[in-house]
Amino acid sequence: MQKQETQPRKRRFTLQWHVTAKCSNRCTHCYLQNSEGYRSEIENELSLSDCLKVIDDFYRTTTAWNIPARVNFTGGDPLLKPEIFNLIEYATKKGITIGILGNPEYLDYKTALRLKELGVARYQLSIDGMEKTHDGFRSNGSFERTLKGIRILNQVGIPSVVMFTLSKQNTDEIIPVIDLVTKEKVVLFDFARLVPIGSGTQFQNDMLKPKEYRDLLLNILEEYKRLKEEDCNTYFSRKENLWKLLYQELGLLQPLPKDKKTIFGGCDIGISSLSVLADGTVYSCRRLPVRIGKVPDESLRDIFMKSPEQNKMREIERMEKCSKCELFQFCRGCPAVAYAVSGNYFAPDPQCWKEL
Amino acid sequence: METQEVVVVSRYEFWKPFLEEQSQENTENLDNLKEKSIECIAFSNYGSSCAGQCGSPCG
Repeated sequence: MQKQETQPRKRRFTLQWHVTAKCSNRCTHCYLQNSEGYRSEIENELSLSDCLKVIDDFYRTTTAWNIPARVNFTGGDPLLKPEIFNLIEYATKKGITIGILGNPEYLDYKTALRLKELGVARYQLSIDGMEKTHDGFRSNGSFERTLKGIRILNQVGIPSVVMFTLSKQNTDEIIPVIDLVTKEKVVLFDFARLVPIGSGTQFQNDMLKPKEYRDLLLNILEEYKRLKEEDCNTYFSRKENLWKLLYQELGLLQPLPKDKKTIFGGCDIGISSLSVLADGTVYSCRRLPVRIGKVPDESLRDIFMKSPEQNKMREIERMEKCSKCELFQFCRGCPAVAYAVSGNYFAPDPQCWKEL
Repeated sequence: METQEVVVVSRYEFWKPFLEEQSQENTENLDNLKEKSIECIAFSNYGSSCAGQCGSPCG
């Protein structure tokens, strides 16, 4: 597992595909339920035939670009899509890497084994706190079901991933959850800030302040270090872009390059991913609810390259704070959080603590 | 990848290996086309009107 940290990230173009909005949970912070398009997602779910067209389109597009492709099937609960196994099989036969971002409710041993046989590369579950807190967010018994799901994944050999949605409500429990997932031999752990959209809008006035967030990242980093020194096998991914800011402050970043034009990393909207909703609506990022197209009516290639809204998002020099920051080429915070709070994805990330 | 698409993604480090790979392939393709143009073979990649993409004098 140590080796993974030194290996370069595999470059893939990723489609996050919410194949169904149906879900047996009603999470208090869900970005889907109570969103503007939720009703359409439930009523106008793409048929199997349309889904296969989308896979064909994605395959054609990434092949033309000569770039490896990944589809992360999610929902809702993707296992509630009756044709999910057909879709996985169809995509894997085309050489597309498949991940699942799902729930534990229907993840029994037999299902996991079938997913393994179909070549699913990873399965992500959520833990948002210890039992009482997690079940409060999701549903009674969800915590135990999730642990059971992790054990089944480990048993059949599908790499298990745990994602923690971070908000003020569960700040105190992220360290215990990190310890828990290492004990459960989860392969990869990461967290994402709650984006207050959909049902999560209720938490908009209850977000971590920038300095609180910095302090929390410091604590998490210390815990990661401690666990690595104990040779824990869990890989701690760092999708949060503001890690770079903290690393720079701690002197852990390499000197910044002389090249001031290339975008080396940071938020990947408009760079290496797209999100498709259950009714075919396309977003640049699922947490940034701005429609940029519709499949299968439009091709993913045209949407990614030509959508006016997508191209506007690429005008990152318009980012009010990030464009003035020396970490502009590496970070750019989270435009989705900015959009959720202000309605403007070029507005400053409200949880970035950097003073310019 | 089309020229306009290259413009859209060229500033991103993520895309550079693919663009470089494509660039090498294009060079190889152009080399092939140049060889073909000497023999006045139609440019199947570009249709009957080659518009000089291969850089050969006949374009």
